[in-house]
Amino acid sequence: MLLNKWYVILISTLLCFGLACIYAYVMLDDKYTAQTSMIILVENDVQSDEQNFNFSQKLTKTYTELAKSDLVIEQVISSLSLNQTSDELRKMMTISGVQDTPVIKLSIVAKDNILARDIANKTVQVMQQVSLQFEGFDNIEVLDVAQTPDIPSGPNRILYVAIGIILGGILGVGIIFIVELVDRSIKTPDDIERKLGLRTLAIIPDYQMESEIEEL
Amino acid sequence: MINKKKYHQMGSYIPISTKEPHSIITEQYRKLRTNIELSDFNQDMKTIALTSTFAMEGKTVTSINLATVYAQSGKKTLLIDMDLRKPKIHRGFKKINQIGLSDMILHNLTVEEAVQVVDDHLHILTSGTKLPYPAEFLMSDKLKELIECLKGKYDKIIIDTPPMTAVTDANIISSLVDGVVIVFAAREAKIDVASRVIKDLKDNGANIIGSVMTRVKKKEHHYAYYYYAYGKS
Repeated sequence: MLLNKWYVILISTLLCFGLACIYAYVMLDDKYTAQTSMIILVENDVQSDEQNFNFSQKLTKTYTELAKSDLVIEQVISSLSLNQTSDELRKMMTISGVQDTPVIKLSIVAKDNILARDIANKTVQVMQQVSLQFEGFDNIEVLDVAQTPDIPSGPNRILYVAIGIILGGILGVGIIFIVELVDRSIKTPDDIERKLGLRTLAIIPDYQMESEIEEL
Repeated sequence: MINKKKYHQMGSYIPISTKEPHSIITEQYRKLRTNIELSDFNQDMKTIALTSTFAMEGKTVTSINLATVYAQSGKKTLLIDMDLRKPKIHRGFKKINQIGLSDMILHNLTVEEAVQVVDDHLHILTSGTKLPYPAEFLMSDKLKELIECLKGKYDKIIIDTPPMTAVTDANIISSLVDGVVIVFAAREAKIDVASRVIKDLKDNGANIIGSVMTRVKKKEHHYAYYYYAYGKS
């Protein structure tokens, strides 16, 4: 039943494939990711080195929150005179501590590769400045300076297209099911027997006789 | 074979049952005949009318073939075209619809004068001269008497009628016959229309023998083997 209308699935799959291609390759802009990393070093004479190391690991969480604070974000915006709002910038930013290390990784996703790099480096710089204001926080060292990303990191266009194809197939199957449900025509002898209570005396296949006009 | 639809509209009504008596499609018409015969042991199905919900469902083709297979079984069969508005039966036998049913009553023609002979067992009675009021004609007592008279001369009388939804003719005819067969074209006939038609016929006291399903695509049923060599004479 489903395969009789394979062309519906084909059409909807092709249509969604086309739309996904247009969306992914025409409407979506390239995105660049600039990555930088920092290391937190706690130097305290009172504690042992191991304790210091453990403490720095714990501080990574504090620093990730610091990076996302309005204080840091707004300073980055004003010093680079960006158009983005602080919320937009926060969305561009991914910051997380690398597990079991005192290292923090910061990545910035932007439509422009140079901008991504600048924001990343500026954020680290601002974080260093801000941390100076608080006692005991003056210990961020830059591990890797962000480089200009040459190759766009996203969007994952093939994924969009693949999703388009899958959704198109599902849509086609759905359309066929809805049409079958809505279609109130007699399709099988079973319909006649169950819905109309009539016996089916014969089933005549679809056939065509050649025209009599041709024969004359 | 460029435009199949066009061929059909031009009227490919030649009975496959004559051209290809051994094809499996003809076998389906024989099955229809057998099932009609077995449908009611208490009543002899002498006059059978075929109707459908809409036009072009295959009612005329089915009537022609059913009459042909009845004739092939040795029964003296008469096929009457009671679709007085769009008569088509004569096309299946390459006959001319000049005199027929209406003339028998209007001009008091005898059966021999009006009926056209196809072969020893199969005779056809075309609709005849066009009438202004077919429904009134069908309701007349004269027609009732004529059918009773024909019943004495033939073993089987197959009647082709107009579709039920178009005009009231088929409803009137259903009360003149022993049994009615409804033709449903697969995927074309609508269930709600069909149930209304069945109700109309039943309210009218018609004896519905059953239905015939036509236009069944080979993909939908396992009829791929029905397709061997048809239409290749």
